[in-house]
Amino acid sequence: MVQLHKRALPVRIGWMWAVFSVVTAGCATPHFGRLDDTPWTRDQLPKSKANVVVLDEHREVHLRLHNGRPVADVVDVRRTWARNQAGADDIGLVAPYDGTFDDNIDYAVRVTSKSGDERVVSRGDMPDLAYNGSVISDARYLVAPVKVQPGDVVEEVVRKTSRKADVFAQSLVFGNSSAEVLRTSFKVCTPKGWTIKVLAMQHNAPMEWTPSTSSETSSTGPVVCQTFARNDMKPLRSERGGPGWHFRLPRVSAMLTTWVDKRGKAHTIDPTPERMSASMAKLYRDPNDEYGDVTVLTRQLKYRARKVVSAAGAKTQRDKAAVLYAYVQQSVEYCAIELGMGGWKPYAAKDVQEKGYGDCKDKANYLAALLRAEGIRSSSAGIYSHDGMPRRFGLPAVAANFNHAILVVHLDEGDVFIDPTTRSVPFGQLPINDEGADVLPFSTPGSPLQQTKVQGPDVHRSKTEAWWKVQPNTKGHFVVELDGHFASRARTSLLYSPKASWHQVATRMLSGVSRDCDEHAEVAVENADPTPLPTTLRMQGALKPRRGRPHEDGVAFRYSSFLNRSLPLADDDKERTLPLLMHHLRREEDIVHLDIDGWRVRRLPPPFSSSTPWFDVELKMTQVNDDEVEVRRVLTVKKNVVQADEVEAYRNAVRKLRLALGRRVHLRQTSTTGGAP
Amino acid sequence: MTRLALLLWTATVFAGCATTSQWDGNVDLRNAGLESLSKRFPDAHGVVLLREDRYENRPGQSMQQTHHEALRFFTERSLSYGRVVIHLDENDKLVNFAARTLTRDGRYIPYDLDQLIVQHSTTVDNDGDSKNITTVIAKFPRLQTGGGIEYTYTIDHDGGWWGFTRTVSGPFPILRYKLDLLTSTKRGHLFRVYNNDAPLQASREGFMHHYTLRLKDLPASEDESYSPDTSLRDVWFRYRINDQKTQAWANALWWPGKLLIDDKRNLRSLFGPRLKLSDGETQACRQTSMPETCRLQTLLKGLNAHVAPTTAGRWWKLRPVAAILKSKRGTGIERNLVLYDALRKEGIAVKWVLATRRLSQAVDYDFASSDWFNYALLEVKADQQTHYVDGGCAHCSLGELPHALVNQRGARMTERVATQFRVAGKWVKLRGKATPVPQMRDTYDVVLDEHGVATVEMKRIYTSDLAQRRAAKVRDDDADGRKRRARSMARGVSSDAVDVKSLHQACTLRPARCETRISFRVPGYGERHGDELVAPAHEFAEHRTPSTGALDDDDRVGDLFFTRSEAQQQLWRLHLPAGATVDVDVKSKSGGDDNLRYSCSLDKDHDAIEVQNRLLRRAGRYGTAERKAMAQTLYDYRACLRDLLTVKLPPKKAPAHTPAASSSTSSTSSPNAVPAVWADDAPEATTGRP
Repeated sequence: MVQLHKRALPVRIGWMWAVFSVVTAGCATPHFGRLDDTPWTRDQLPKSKANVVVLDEHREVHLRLHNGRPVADVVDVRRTWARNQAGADDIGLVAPYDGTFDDNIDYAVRVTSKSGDERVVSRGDMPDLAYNGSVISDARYLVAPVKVQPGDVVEEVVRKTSRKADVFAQSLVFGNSSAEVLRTSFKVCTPKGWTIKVLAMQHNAPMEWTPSTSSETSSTGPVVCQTFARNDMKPLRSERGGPGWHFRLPRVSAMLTTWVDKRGKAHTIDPTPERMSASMAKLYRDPNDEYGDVTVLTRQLKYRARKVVSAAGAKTQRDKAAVLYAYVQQSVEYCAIELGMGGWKPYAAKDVQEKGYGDCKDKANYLAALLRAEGIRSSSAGIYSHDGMPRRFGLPAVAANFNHAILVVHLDEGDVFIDPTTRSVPFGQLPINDEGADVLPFSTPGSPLQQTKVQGPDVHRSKTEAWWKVQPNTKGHFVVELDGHFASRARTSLLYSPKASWHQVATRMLSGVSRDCDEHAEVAVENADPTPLPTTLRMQGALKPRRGRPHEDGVAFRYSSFLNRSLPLADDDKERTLPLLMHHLRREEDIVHLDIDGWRVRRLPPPFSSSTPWFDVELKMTQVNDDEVEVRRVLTVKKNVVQADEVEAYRNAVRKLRLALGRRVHLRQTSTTGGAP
Repeated sequence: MTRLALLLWTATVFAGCATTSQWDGNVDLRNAGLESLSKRFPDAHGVVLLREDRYENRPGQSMQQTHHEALRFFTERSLSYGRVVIHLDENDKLVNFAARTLTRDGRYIPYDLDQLIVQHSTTVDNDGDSKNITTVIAKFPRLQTGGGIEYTYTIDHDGGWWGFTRTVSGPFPILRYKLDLLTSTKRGHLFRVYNNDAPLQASREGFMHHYTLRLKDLPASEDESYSPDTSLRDVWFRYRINDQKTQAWANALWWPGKLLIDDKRNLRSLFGPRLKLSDGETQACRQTSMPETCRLQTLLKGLNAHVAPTTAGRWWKLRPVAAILKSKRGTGIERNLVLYDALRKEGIAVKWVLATRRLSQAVDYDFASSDWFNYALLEVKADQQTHYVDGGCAHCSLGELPHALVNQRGARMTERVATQFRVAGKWVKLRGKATPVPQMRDTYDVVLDEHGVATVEMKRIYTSDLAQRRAAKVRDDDADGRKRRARSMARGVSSDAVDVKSLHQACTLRPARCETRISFRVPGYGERHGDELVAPAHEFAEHRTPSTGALDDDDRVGDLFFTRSEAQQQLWRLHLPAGATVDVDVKSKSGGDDNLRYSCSLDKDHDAIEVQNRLLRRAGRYGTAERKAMAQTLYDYRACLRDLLTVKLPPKKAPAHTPAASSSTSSTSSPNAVPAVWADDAPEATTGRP
């Protein structure tokens, strides 16, 4: 057995510890700067209903030159009052920072109890943790080991110097989703001759906000500062089915547009999407950082592309692109290792091929290389993968707009957006999280901002047809046909499940008709594996017998006994201020054939149909012959967002649908068959 | 730390490790027969062909831990197990790591040690001491369904270990498992394997005891509903040094002893507020025949007055007495701490007792662990009588204990000044009277109008433990919170409930009772057909009824647990429209057995229909036959409640309107209005025929 170097680890830790001690030396008596300048007394605490009240929250950014490059000294100060126990539990004393791009990290905490006792914690007393969730990165946290008690006022100061201030934007979200914020501000200071571009956004749109401007003198010389301030911001009121806090809270971002180096030379950063597009493309090709030129096309990449295309027999440009897309989808496992610049720059295409794993940008860049090997042009593109409410583009700076990367393929017939991170979305379609979103292709020369399309009910379709008998303890069967988002979701579930559990996937698809797939019977699936081009996924199998005592006399089923799916109601008491998310356009058709052999229909419920600006729906129960009642529902969702001022009318329409779903069919047993089977 | 530095560090540590002969043929990963394996384990995402653990422990010197594992992947979900994370403490050394990937087509790809990711952190332990920890992450390349991985690593832990617990079962089935535990003969020890009867081979090799355990075909560890803890079903083992001075299980009291007896965190500060008796109360108690008992009872009253019970908390979040009293609320253990502090000050003999709630997890009373204790209470000696007092149970009177604790064993902690290990423990039986079975009682007063709209006034009462939990939940409710709860209660009855109003919400601790009253309307409750109104006899909310799916599950592996007994009782009184008549058969039915019992009845009283049901379930551990019987009881119970009433309305003087021919509705009319189409008179047995 090969032995490793046994001494290496403790030596390394010892060295690290020495460095750590030097860095943290002198932190024993932290200074609270601005917080000490604005002392407070307990009688100033406001009357509030919020669990947490933020008395002050200020971010101050000073841009300056360091080693010939712009850096940003960032100071965050926060004074928070835990009004009660829930508030004390909510306050987490944590300072996140980036292990690669942040220097001179300092974090100090002072907690003042109701009785006036003070506890002060400085960085040297704090755990300093590397954090790895699903993404392996340089994200780190300083954690203050202090337990906040109800009534405590907590003062925090976080200081750090962010490198690459010419690449990253600085920003602040004003207010808090669950706390009341009394005073908050964002101040950006630049040396004379430097310029910044500032953008304030709320509700997905730029907002007018004139800052106060001042000239000051900092340690590096005279600076010009812009300050944005807000007071008395209430916590957000919960509105069901609406977009999240990032849509609701105002956010101010600032990016550097001109800076002057030591020799007096001015560097200009054009604040346009086109410039950012070109910069990102240049970053991908930059051979000088640790990632190198990630677009290099090697012989192995060319060989792989040729092999995949010829194995599939693809001849046209579109078919070639589709098979290479499907190949990347299935051969590269999703795994995000984003160390250093890895948050923004992918690994080289050849490395991704060799390792067989990568994150969204790794997969997009690898596919771009394979396509290029086959003579097809494409560009990686930044996009914000959303949960129903696309986020609009803000400042053209790295880490300000996008959380995801896709690819735009430039075919002769036109551009096609594809997302190779998805496991089962076919070529030509996009996952619903990418629909209607701002997207910026990275190319030279720079590309303008574009928008992905919203796919309609002709793409996202589901049809469920089921047959069963009136009595419990009897089996039935079903057929499900799925397209678009319904099909990709089901295919992904199938890939993630052992075959013996496919009935669980079928059961989820059957939720619309209130029945479960029989786990003891085989489910037959057509087109189970993802296909390069769109195909209909078809599942069929047996329904699980619904158990229970047999019906012995009359019985009444509601529409909702067969049809379970409805629409979000957004049933809030107060006035609606937010749009309601419908997530995606779709057509759902659910049909139940009820075998009523041995029973007769006493009454059928009337049909229901409704056409609204947001959806069309039809409910119908008909007696097909002596042995069968057919229950049918067709729902077409026509809008993916119900605007706030439409929600009341929409709610009324949904209530009517729900009332209609409560209508019953009345059945009686015929005298000939007698009791239950 | 930059990636470059990490790589440099890794290269230094693993210098000379490019070649490896780790794979000694114990397992044939490549020729494992994937098809037959996936047939053999159809529900599995993957399978572990071999897992080997070897622990070589010399307490006070070193512990060498070796892990070897080989697995194959069946589904894409299983690929997430292709990331191995190793945590190293300050004195740990990773002395060996080797790994390889098997591709679907049978090629081995050796793991490149340069790809290891190493991250350093500093943390603070329970005693407030800072320590460095290192995380080593290995992400396997080229993972594919149908492929597999194999890896092994060895860690040297400086100083050896005093004890550890490990679970063998994992997310995949394990074909073969081998455990080698070598422990020095110089120290006594205990070693047990749980939930498995496989023989444990023991031998002596020089100065080491050697235990070998071989297991085959272990099923995957799976979560099942009504199964409180994996320790009740998974295979796991526990090892602990026994240093002769104390019982091995008493090591379990080390940390609780530091916290509660040594008061390491200064929870019982001499300064600041504390619970105490007033002079008048002390005086009054002196005049009774049992002065200590009187003082204890007065303190319990004071505890309820000053510290409201909240929902469960965690040991490590235990606050000081002063903070608890200031906040006026506390978790069970915090309330016990306040009481303990007050009793000590009063000079009444009091000791901590740690226990495990019945049916909550597996407990080996001969070899306990601090992790197993999930309840703390007090043993109080007052007037020569021993009482087990649970300060956390606000509604318990003296002598009463929550039913999950009665007759359980508890570890009573006593202070031992003479030894280094300052806490001694002794098992005691927690004698006491159980609190009443918690109950949920619903009463619905329903007025049905001639359009089929039901106006409901609902009253829900929780008692006993349920009431205490409910009280803790609703204590901070404001108007919005009450409204939210009211809406959730109403929706539990009918998803069509509208106009929900909260009428009343109040809780008392003694007797434990929480009452909530709400009102709401249900449009479309009854359907109008000419002169008839067809409506269900009731629509009870049944949110505390067990799931028939779990009870009747054919594929369930483990037993089913009801961790507490509970009763629910519901009364639905339906008032018919004035002058209406209904023809119903009065009935009454009951069934089930001692584990689950029900009764239901339907009665007519003038213009009202009264439906009543009761369901009582008993806490216990139930095997397949018992749970299937309970499922049948529930089916019978539900069938008994499946009544539809046909109400005959008094004839109207003049028809209101002609029924509409079309069924379309517009989206602009009032949401709660009954659509006109519902009032049409559908002829029997012909409607809807094509």
